[in-house]
Amino acid sequence: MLCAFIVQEAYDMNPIDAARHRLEQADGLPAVLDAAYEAFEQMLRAIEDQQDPAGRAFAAFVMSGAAAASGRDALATTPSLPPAASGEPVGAIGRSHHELTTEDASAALAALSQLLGSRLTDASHLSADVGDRVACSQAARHAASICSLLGGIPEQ
Amino acid sequence: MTGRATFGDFADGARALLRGPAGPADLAVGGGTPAARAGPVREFTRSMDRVVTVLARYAADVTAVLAPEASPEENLPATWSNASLQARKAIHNAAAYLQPTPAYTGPPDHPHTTDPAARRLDAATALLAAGNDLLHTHVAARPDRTRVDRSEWAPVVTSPPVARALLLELGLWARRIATHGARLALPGPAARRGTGDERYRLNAACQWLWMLDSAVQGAQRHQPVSAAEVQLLHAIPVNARAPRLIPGSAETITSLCQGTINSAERIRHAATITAPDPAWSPALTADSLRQAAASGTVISHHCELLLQTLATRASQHGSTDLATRLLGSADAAAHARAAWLHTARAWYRITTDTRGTIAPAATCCPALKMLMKASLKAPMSWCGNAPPAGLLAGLCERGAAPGRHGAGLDGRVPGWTAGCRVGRQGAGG
Repeated sequence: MLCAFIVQEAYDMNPIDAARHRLEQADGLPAVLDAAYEAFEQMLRAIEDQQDPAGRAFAAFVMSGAAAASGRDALATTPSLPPAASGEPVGAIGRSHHELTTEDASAALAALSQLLGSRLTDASHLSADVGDRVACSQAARHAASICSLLGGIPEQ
Repeated sequence: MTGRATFGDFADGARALLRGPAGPADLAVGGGTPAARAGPVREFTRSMDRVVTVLARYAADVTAVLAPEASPEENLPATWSNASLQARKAIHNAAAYLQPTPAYTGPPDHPHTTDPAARRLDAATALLAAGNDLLHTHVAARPDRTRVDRSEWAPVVTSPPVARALLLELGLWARRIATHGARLALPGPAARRGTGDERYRLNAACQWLWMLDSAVQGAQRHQPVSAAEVQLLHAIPVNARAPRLIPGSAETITSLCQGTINSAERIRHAATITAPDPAWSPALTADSLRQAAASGTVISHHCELLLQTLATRASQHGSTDLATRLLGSADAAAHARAAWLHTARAWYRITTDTRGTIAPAATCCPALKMLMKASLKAPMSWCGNAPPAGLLAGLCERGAAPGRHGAGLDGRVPGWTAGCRVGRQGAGG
């Protein structure tokens, strides 16, 4: 019953909200890294969907895409990142990114990137491994870049 | 245009100094020891030796362009190639007359030049040397003496029209130097007794400089150097780039234009100096390539918007032909944007693996390498300068979604073989 509820809730959320929810719920360094990695992935997909040359924020979404991919890759170097779980990714069961308007997508992505920056900065302090710390800092910087590009205020 | 020193700055300065007076007031020496009486002649000779050394460097550069070895034109009179050879020979002969006289047994020369004419000549020499150095900032030589271009100006610096303009300048400088020297060398009042040999040698050197000018004038009559070619020579700037700056919110239009020009120059410079680098350069990273592709996309996009706006304005003013051409350019920019975006998206999915756990998927070419270092972000920030249209189109194949299975990703592209990582969920193995 609980499982069914969770799945239904996931269907009701767009992938960005789902990634944000997962990141908020993540506890411990591996979980944070795992959720952050997935969040960058989801952001990248949402960003690509918004890369419409006729749109009002084309340039911001193009530059954000590079930052999201680089943030994801930075996390991929962290020793504490757990192996990928099998099964469907979060984004696959949620609603499509296409349903978001440019304004909604910008706001959602800016908020998620702000949260990402915050959680990754905290995570960099949690790990004793220098590889984790450096990668988290780099990824946090990419998240801050996305936040700034999409009109948000990055975490200081 | 760029705010940097140009060859014209130095050439004009030298020309002004050489045009300065060298009248009898400078030269008259009444009484004193023979050494004191010989002072102006000796000082000028010494200064002239210095300037002739600099002129020899110019002549060598010019000859390398206008009269390379085995040129069939070498022996044709009144041609620039012939003039360049004659100029080099004249300078060589002049220099031979300017060496210190072996027979001189007087006190050593005063370490500082005191004669006004010689001091002016020294100042001109410094400017001419700086001008020569400026030109050499654009080209370098390999150990085997072949040329290495160091900037986008290198083809200009080594072009025949600019070499001819430079030789024309050389003739002018030589003529003015010779005029000053010949006045000093004139036999005259008793005050100049005891300086006969020095005056003779100085005069002979001046004669050779006049020969140089004569050869140049002959070529100029036969094939005149245009004013535009001289202007081009004078416009050559020093090969130095402004530091990378991020535009602020209160930039003026002038500063934005300057920032755009500086950024474009930085890119072109990076493209020039990066080309010979090996493809495995560790400075190449997936991050940088992503950034370059994203910036290229945005720059193209900005160009398209600007060109469309200009086309609309042209159309409103009845310039239909101009509007059509601007729209054509806008269309080209749109194609460039599409190609850049395709590449940018490919780089979202291409990552690298230093542990060799992924299959090679894309081998990047020097164009990508060049763009990585070119820091395309800067011009995008300033206004949107045009990138090489479609340069990256088709260079990278779209791969599978990146993943993280046991790979030691470090964002680099070892051996220029980027890997399309399999999906995190294992799809596509």
